[in-house]
Formats: sequence, structure tokens, C-alpha cells
Amino acid sequence: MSAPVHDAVSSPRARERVADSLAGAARPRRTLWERIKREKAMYVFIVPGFVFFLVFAYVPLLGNVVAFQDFSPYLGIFGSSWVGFQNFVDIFQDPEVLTAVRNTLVISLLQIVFSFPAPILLALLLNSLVSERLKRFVQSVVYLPHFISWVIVISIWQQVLGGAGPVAALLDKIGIHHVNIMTNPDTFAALVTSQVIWKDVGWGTIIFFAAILAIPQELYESAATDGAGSWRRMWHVTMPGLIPIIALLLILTIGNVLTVGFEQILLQQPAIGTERGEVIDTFVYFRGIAGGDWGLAAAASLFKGVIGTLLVVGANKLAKRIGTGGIF
Amino acid sequence: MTQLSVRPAWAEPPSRGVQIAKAVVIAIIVVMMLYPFLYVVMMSFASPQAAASGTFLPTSFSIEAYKNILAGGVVTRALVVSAGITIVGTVLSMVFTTTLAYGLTRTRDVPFSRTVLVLVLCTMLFGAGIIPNYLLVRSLGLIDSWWALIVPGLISAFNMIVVRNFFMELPGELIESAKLDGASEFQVFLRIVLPLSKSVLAVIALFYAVGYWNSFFNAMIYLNDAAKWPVQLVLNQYVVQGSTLTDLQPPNVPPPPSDTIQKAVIVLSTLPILIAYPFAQKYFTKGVLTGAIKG
Amino acid sequence: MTDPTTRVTLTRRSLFTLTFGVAATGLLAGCSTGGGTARTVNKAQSFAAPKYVAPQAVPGGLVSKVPGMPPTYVNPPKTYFTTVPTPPGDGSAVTSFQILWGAPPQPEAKNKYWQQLNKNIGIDFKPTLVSSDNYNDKMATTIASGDVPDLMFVQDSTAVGAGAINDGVFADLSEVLAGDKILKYPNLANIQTSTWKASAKNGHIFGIPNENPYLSNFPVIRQDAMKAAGHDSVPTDGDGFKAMLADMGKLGKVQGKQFWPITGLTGNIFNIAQWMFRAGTTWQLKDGKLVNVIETDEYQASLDYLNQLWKANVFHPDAVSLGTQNEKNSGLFTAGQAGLHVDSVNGFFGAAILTDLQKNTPGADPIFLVPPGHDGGDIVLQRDAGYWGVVGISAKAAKDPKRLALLLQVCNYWRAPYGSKESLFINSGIEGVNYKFDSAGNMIPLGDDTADNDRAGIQWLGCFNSPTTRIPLAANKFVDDYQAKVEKLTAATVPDPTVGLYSKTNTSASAKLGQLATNYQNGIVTGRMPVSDVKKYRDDWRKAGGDQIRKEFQAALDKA
Repeated sequence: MSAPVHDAVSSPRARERVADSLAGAARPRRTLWERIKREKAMYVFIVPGFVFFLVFAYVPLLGNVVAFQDFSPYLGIFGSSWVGFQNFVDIFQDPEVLTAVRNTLVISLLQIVFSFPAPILLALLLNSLVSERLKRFVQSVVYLPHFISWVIVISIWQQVLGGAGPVAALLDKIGIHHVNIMTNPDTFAALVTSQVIWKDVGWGTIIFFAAILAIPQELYESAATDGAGSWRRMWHVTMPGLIPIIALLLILTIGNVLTVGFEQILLQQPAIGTERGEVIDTFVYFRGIAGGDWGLAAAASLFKGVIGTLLVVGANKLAKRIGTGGIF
Repeated sequence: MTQLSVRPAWAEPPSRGVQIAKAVVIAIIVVMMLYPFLYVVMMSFASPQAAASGTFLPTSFSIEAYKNILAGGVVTRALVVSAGITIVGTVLSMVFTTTLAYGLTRTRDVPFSRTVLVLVLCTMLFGAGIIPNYLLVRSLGLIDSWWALIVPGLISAFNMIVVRNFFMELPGELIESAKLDGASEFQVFLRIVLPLSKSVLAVIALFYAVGYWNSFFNAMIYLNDAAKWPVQLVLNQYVVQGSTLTDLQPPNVPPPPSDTIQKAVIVLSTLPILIAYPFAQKYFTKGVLTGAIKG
Repeated sequence: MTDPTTRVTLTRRSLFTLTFGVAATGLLAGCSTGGGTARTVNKAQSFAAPKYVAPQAVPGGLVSKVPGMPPTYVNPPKTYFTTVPTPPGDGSAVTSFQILWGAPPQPEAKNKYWQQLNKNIGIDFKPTLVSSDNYNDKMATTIASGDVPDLMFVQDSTAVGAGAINDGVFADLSEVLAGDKILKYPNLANIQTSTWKASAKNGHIFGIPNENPYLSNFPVIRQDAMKAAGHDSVPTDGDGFKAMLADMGKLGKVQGKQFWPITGLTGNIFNIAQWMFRAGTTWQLKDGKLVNVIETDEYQASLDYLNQLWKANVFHPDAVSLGTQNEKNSGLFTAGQAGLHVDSVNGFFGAAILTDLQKNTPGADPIFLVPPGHDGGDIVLQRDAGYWGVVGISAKAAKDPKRLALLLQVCNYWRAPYGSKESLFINSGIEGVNYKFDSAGNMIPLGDDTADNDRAGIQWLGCFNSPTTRIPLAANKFVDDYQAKVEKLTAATVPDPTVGLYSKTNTSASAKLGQLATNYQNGIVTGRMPVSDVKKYRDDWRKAGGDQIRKEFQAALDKA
């Protein structure tokens, strides 16, 4: 793939990439204090937001100390007893934990492969439409499922795909009996991914549209003048414009690989069974929150956070190495 | 406002086969997305008897369900509350998000800003649980106040990072030349960066607005006075399916609302967003940056 | 003059410290406002029963000779007596924490029921209303904050509820109510001794319990569907019952509507199968040792039976999901599409499922069902625990004896017996607003949904009077059938020996064990797993806490 077209336009990110490659070249040395003084105005921008995150994200995180306790709400942190790493041990020694982790990873991987690219493809498809009216109409339609809660979504899917629905009736007529996609454990991961695509593909296109529309029209014109057809224009103009946002979202998705839909899976677990239907979040739910074991829930959350951080850092480094630029 | 439905001069028309393929794919997608929603809307207008027969297409029309829900003014009041929270929350969130995003665009030059960025990123990966968050909100005196629905969620790390990402993709020359002309950071932010980012700002504002409009859990946990409830909390009472308590039938419970009422609830809770979306969509127009380079 | 740089530094640092410090201190302070001290509240003591005084009888009811069956009232009381002559309150505010089942009520200024309640009891009632599906979460945060409302409804079978009781959130009422002391609150004395005992924890009374009849849920079957399938009466053994259900399944449509013999695979359906095989109560004593029902052969046989029903297409294809969707499942029966349905008096009569069914589906003929024993013999039902939740009084509020007395008086008013003016108000509302009386004294609902909502939201404190079965006028034709069949079912109930005993693991592991049960039971019935997997289920159950619970219950049993 040839170099991203955007190098012709020098954005702050492009300059960062150049600076990366010049690492080690001599730059004027300034003391820390001088640099802070130079950028005072920027601190006005940064400080309020940073204080917000400190107070509303980091202070409550102190509460995760209950991961090392046998926590009871009324007794509070100071009244509950300390159990060291027992909560973590309980999680890892539980016979169900491997099943939960395996199912989570399978579903996550399926979603990265299928439901992550889906909005991109849809955005590209819609972008290639000429009629503004049609484009807007389809845009408005595809985001509708996003607003329907999972309870209703599952209920609707059941009505259509369930054993008493029209799909099963149709298949019955052509000789395939007793097909109930909603209760089949072997296809559950695929079912969950399809549901996610159906519900969120439209909403997901919004962000890609904003990226596509930030690409100047002149680039298309000049590419066309150079003889590029519509597919090559998409590859050489549109895609490079999308790379930064795709990289950003992919890094974040990888960081969240241990989290798949909670409510969506909890609603369908009774029909599918735990062999394929148990994921990390439901595993923690039945033991931690529903079982009143706050310590265990906090331990699981801490563990997921640590793994997630490692994954994000790793993905970020990888992104920088292959040239798309990371988040930080 | 004229909308170009004309192919630009430099684009050649696609082949017949591609056109047909596109049309088929789009038609399928539209039907699959639209049908369930239409079904829900149609069923909400059905009379109770027709709904009970469970057909795909209802046969009669009645606004019983809506009358039932809107009687008594509780839902109407909740709609007003939600609207207020959404508007105030979105405005405040946009202010704080864009400023923080701008502040973090030059992590190479501003000391400690990369640390701040990483710290903010980490907040997306760790959660604190409901009890610590509740105690914090309580210690700030926000229990039973609408500010408890706005302040704790003021900046979404994800939204902020997306905005920062867009800011960083803007052409550097514009900013550089403005600074050479003596513009302060603030002026650059207001006069150059923000106007050029209309598309992403519209998107993020939409994300925030939807988030505030749909906020349910915070309202449930932090608001004790039922008179203060926003609309999602009120409407949830109509569609509660099961309780976490026991599966024994509790005594003296009023009968559950009918299916039509539940469908009407869905329509009511999403209607305002459906109305607001076209206004945001206006900003998804072509080529925001077109001509900016020459200017 | 201060150096500008120093001043800037100080300001920034102090701002940081201030914000962080305040928030941190607030958080940490909040951490200790819980207020609970060491967990000594549950040191066992011998149970001192409050005195029992039967509620004033209302003439005209069908009083059953079978114990545990509440009296059935078909006609309204001729007169209403008074149990609370003067409002017991002093105008002070009383806060509560209770479930909101339906739409939210109007605010107090517009809410006639709420205003009347304040007048009748003499308090300024301030309820916190919580939806049932978020009750546990909100209870946990409320308790953690230490701001416990005066009256709180607690379902002590949940982990949060049991934990709260164990940690001393609620006042210990044992001394205040023992023996004759309860006569200060005459309506509270209507609670049967067995209910007090069942709800007590290690001999301590931590709340006002709600009595339950011996049996709360019973099955109803569509006799017209039976007849259409060629069966005139309910078969007398398991095979016959299975054949009848299978024949009903083959019908496809009944009275013109798509029909399935059983729609939802609910816990009640599993119960019916266990009744038929006499599997017994959840915990049973065999030679003085506790055995769980899942460890019995009869339990395995009951699962096998349901699996055979599944193979015979007796169930709706989505029966497993419908088993968790109560409203949808109920809705199918009311719409005339289900053959068998299990519900309570509240559902069949209160929510008028039976009358609605006949309205929607002319020709439908529901009768109450006594399932046959699998071999033609008797059936064995599990007797209800005897109580459904308690109303706890905040321990902090109860430190002041006068305040405690007031709060008990509020409960006293709330659970005035059927036939009293107070009960008429609490349960039915205000005459002329919610209902009116006709010349025969029958209560005719006025159908004002808003007014009914106002009542429903406030009245459900979770404190109910002793159970009676009230069958509305429109459903009068079902009375004789109901009485006859439910008497038979009630007479066949057997008590569980662990009722009234406390096991910590039972509540903390209940969610996990419930998930295990769902997984295996659904799997075996639908054929996803072979019936022999019951062995695997038993092993998993033991490891996941079953053996620990057995140990704890056995220890409590041996001590009692």
C-alpha cells in the first residue's frame, strides 16, 4: 500500500511521526520549568478536565481496595475484615472460570473480525451513494436498532428466529425440523455477534462518516485526474483518511477484549446453557454482585483492568510500529 | 438549501452490476433494521384485543396505550426533566470535552500532558463499582439532585479521545500561521479548531445527548424522590420483566401492563432522539475542509 | 510582596489537595458511616414468641378445615370495624424504602391517597420507591451510605438482604415484642407464631414478617382443550397425564388460536413434576441427616418425565426463555394460547386472568388442577416457607424508644386485618376516588387509572395483613372449583425442616446455585444433556456450596 496521501497535508499527527523518525537528532534543550511556562495556556485547557477524572474516576477507584476484603456495605471499608488475595484465589480456583474465559475470548474474537469492520464497510457503501436523499434516509434507518434495549431486541429476535417463528416454519416446510437458533449452544457465539452487528452497525457508521467527510474533495478530484477508478480512489483516498480513527477504535476494542455484552448474554443464558453461555461478566455477576460478594466482584474488576491496560499498551506500541500512529 | 444529488464531475458512473448489487444490499439492510421498529410502532397503536391475538400485522388502530401512559402527568413531567438534563448536560460536556481534548493535542510539547492522556485512557479500563461511586456522590452532597446525573459523567474518556484524534488530524499550517500572526491558544481553539471540526463535534454532541437522554442507572441510584425521575426511569416501570427478589409471586401486586403499553413506552422513550437526529445530521455535509487549505 | 511563582504554585497545589482531599475524606468518611460494629447481632438465643391473637373474624367467609388455607371471601363485609381509633402519629416524617411495582404515583401535592394516608396515621410519609429489578443494588448503596430509612422492606433470601440483617442494619425487636408486649400493637399480634419463628434469625426477630398461606401458587388447566383432545377428565396417573398433554399438543389450534399445552418452562412446572413423583421438600431428613431434593431418585425421575413431555412436543419451542419472561408467559395464557398455567390468587383473581381469558377466548373453560401421582398414588407438595419478606426498622432510629414505638404503630396500622376500616383504606383506597359501593355493599372499582396508580405506588410498603382470599364478583363462578381443588393441594403440603434456620452460605451462594440449577434442569429437560447428567449436577452442586450449606443447616438443626 502506498504512503498515506495525507502526508501532503501536515497535521500535528504527521509532524509527530516525523519527529519520531528524527528521534535522537539534536533539538534545542529547554528546562522543564521553561517548557511549562511556554505552554501555560494549554494547562488552562487541561487542568479542569484532569481534575474531573481525578475526582470522579480515580477517587472511587480507591474503593477497589475491597478486592482484598470480605466486604460488607454496612460495615464499610474500615469495618470489614481483610482476606488478602483470597478473592483472587476464589476466582481462579472456580471450576467455571476457564469456561467463562474461553467463551468470552471466542465471542470477542468473532466480534473483532466481523462486527468491528461492519460499520466501516457500511459507511463506505453509503458514502458511495450519489443521491443525498437516499443516503440520509438509509442513515436514519440504520441507527434505529441502537435505541431498542436488549430486552426488546432479544424478544424480537425470538419472535422471528425462535422455534415458533416464521423462519422455523419456513425451514419446516422444506424439511428441516426443530430448528431453533435461539437455543442452539453451538451457534451461540455467531448469534451474539450477529445481534451486535444488527443493533450497532448503523450507530457505528456515524463516527466513520464524520471521518470520511473530513477528507477534502480535492484529493478525490486529483486522484481521478490521475486516472484512479472508484475502487482505487476508495483505497488511496478514503481509507487513509479512516486509518487514524480505525486504529484508535481497534486499540480500544482490543483493550476491552475481556468484556462482551452483559445484559444481552444474561438474557439468553437460560436457554443456551452455561457451557457456551457463560462469559466473564456473568460469571462475576452470579458470584459477586448477586451473591453479595463485593470483594470478589472488585477483584475481578481489578484483574480485568490490569489485563486491559497491558493489552492497550501493547496494541498502542504495535500501532506506532506499523505506522498508523497510536493513541499516546 | 440545495443538496447535490449530482455525481461530481470527476466520478464515473458505476457499472450496472455494481448498481444492482448495491441496491439489493441496501434494500435488505433497510428492511432488516426498519421492520422491527415499525412493528413496535404499529403494535403500540393497536387496540388491546388485537394485540393479544399475536399477529404480525395489527388490524385496528387505537391510542389507548398512549392515553394510559400520559394520563396523570407523571410521564410528561419526566419528559421535561429528561430534556432539561440532556440539554444542560450536553452543553457542559461539550465544553469540558473539547477543551481537554485540545489541551492534549500536543503531548510532545506540553510537559506531563502525555501522563494525563494515559491516566485518562486508563479510566476506560478500570471500574469502581456502585458503592464507591455512590459514596463519592453522597460526600459531594449531590444525592437526590439532578446534578448527580450530569456531573459524574461530565466527560467521557472515549468521546474526548475521539475529539482529540480529530483535532490532531487538522492541517498544521493553519494553526501555525495563526500563531505567527499572534493568536493565543484560546483564539486558535475558538476561531480555527472548533469551526473546522463541526462534523466530529456534531457527532460527539449527539453521543452525549443520547447518553444523557438514556441515562437510567445513575438516576435510579442517586434519585430518591420519585417526583424527580427522568423519563427512562419512569418508563422502565412499565416494562420491568422480572425482579431480582424471588420467583415466587409477590402478594398484592398490580397487574402488569399490556403488550401495547410496553410498545408505546419504547416509542415514547426514543421519539425525542429521532426528532433531534436530523438536526445533527445537517452537519454531516460534504467536505468540511474543502477550500480550507486554499484559504 | 509574595513571589508570583510561589503564589501560583501554592494555589495550584492547594487546589489539587483540596479537591482530592475533600473527595477522599468524604469517600473515606462515607466508608465508615455504615455504623455496623462487630457481627455479634446473630449470637443465637432462644426464641421468645410474641403472643398470638387471631384477627377479628369477618362473617360470611368460607373457612376451610384444612390448616394453612386462608378463608375465602366471596361477598363483601356487611360492616367494617375499627382497630386503630386515633391516628398514632405525631406528624413527624417517616421514611420508607419500598418496591414500586407499577407506574410511579403522582407527587404528594396531587396524590389524594398519600394525603389521606398522612391524615389517617398522623405522619408525614416519605417513601423511597425502587423498581423491583434494581432493588438489591439500591439497597446496597443505601445501606453503605448509612442513611437507612425508618422502614425498609427486606427480602431476606437475597444476599444483600440477609447481609444487611446480619450486620445489624435493623433493630432487634425480640425484646420489644415478646409475649404480652406485642399487645400494645394488636394488629401485629395477628401474626402466627409459626411465621414469627420461620422469619427469626437464630432466635432474633429483625422485622415484621408477612404471612403466607401453605401454598401460594396453583395450576389451572383448560378443560375445553382437554375435551377437544378427547379427554373428559384429568387422567389418574403420570402416563395418562403425559398422553393427554401430548394429545393437546397435537391440536395445534384451540378455539381458533395457536395453542401449546405448556408455554413457559417455569420453576412451577418443575415443581408439578416433583409433586407427581413425591420428590419432597428442598431439604429433607433421612435418618436425622439432611438430604437435598436433587440428591433423590424421585427428582431424577421427575426430570426424566419432563424430558419425555418435551420429546412429545408438549412445550412451546421457546419455553425456556418464556420461563424467565413472566409477563409474556402470563399473556399467552390470558390470550387463550396456553393449556396449563400456574399462578397465585393475586394473578388469577386480582389481575383477573381467569375472567380476561374467558373474555378474550369464548369457549375457554379453565379449571384448577390437582395433578395425579405418577403411579396413581398421592402427590407431595412443598409447604411454603410461611413468610414473604419482612419490614425492618432502622436500628439507628430504634435507639429512641418513643420513635420505635411510633414506627411499630405505623406497621400496626398498615397490617390491620381484612374487614377493618384501616385495611379497607390501605388495600382499596378512598371511596369515591378509587371505588364506590353498590346497594349490596359490593365494591365497584371506579377505573380511574391515575388514582389507582397513586394508591398502588404508596400502599406497597411490604407490610400485609394476614392472608385472605378475596374473589371479586366477576369471578364468583370459580369459587367452588377453587376451594375444592386448592384444599386438596394444601392438604398435601409438607413442611421443610430447615425453615427458620439460618445458613450464611445458603444466601451467598444462592445466585450461583440458581444458575447451576437453571443450566442443568433446562439442559436435561430440553435434551441438551442426557438425564444421567443429574450425577454431574449433584457433584457440581456439592462443590459449589451444597455440602457447606448442608453442614450449616445440620449444625443449626442439631442445636435447635
